Amino acid sequence: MQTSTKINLEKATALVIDDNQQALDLLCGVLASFGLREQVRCNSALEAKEICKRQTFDLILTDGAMPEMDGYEFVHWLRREGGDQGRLTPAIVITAHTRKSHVMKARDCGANFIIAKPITPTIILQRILWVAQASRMFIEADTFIGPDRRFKQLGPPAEFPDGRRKDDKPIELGAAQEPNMSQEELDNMIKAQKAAL
Amino acid sequence: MSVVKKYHVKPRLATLIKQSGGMYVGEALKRGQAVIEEHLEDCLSEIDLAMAAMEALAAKADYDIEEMYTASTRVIAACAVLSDESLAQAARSLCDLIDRASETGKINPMSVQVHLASMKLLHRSEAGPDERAQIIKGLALVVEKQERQAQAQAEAAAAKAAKS
Repeated sequence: MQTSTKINLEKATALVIDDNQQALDLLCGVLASFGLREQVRCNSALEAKEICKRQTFDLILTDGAMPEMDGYEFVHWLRREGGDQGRLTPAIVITAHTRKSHVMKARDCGANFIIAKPITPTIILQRILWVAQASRMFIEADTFIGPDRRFKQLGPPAEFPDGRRKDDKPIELGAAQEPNMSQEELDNMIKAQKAAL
Repeated sequence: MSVVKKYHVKPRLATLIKQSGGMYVGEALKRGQAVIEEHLEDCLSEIDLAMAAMEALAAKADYDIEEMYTASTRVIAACAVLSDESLAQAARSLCDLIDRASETGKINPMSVQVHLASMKLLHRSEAGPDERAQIIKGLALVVEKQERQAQAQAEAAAAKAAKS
């Protein structure tokens, strides 16, 4: 994320859902500081559902764990029944802890991203910028509706040149193990051959 | 066979964010951090309240473990104002402990007490980074131990059932 990039969120509208009032105030405050001031706040996903039937948003941020209907169920509903425009709305789930039994639910709900609390302005803004890039295909299948969950292996990200995992390959390629093939050998590989009948 | 539809969606946000005006990312981040700092006192009070609620729960002979879980998630959320991550990590470890226990139906009260004592130590204390890292490592071992014990008990019960 380049600090010299300019962003304009003044005309964007966001729906923010969290049953924890303090967490809701904090998140809305951070969004407002980015210039995203058009916000609708909800303390429950059920309330948010009713609002989504009448209004569409440019971005939805929801807490993961909530009573009655959690954030994952809400996004699952939105992707299926949120209306022509509403169901394509970028949705980010923010969660303090994901129960082991909810991991699959989180994967399959169709959210664009899942962020772990405690929130930081850097992570929130970075995910908003990623969502705005819209580089992922939207997938509709019987069991999943949402942005493509598969990420192509494009090598280590620029900010982690040594990779983020122990088994990540180094960005530099090793020396060739064998001599290169000659042009003749390459030509022969693609040369049309007469079929022996 | 089910049909899979794939298409590109350009959200309105993608267009809006590029419009003229607005602010630089660096400026937005500075403003965001200032907002976080404005909430410092509220969040510290929230952490105190949640931890007091957890201690009150643990003092009871019988309590709803889900209430403990919820209070621990309150601590994690309020840790947004802290630059050190150790308290949030300890609270997350407690959530892990409770989550695993809710699968097996058994939780060791001592494991919960160890987590609460560690969280108290990490919150508003001057413990150094090494000490904090040691505490977090210890808590991970507590969660692992409970999981191993639960697994061993489940295996013993299955073996007993197979014999009878």
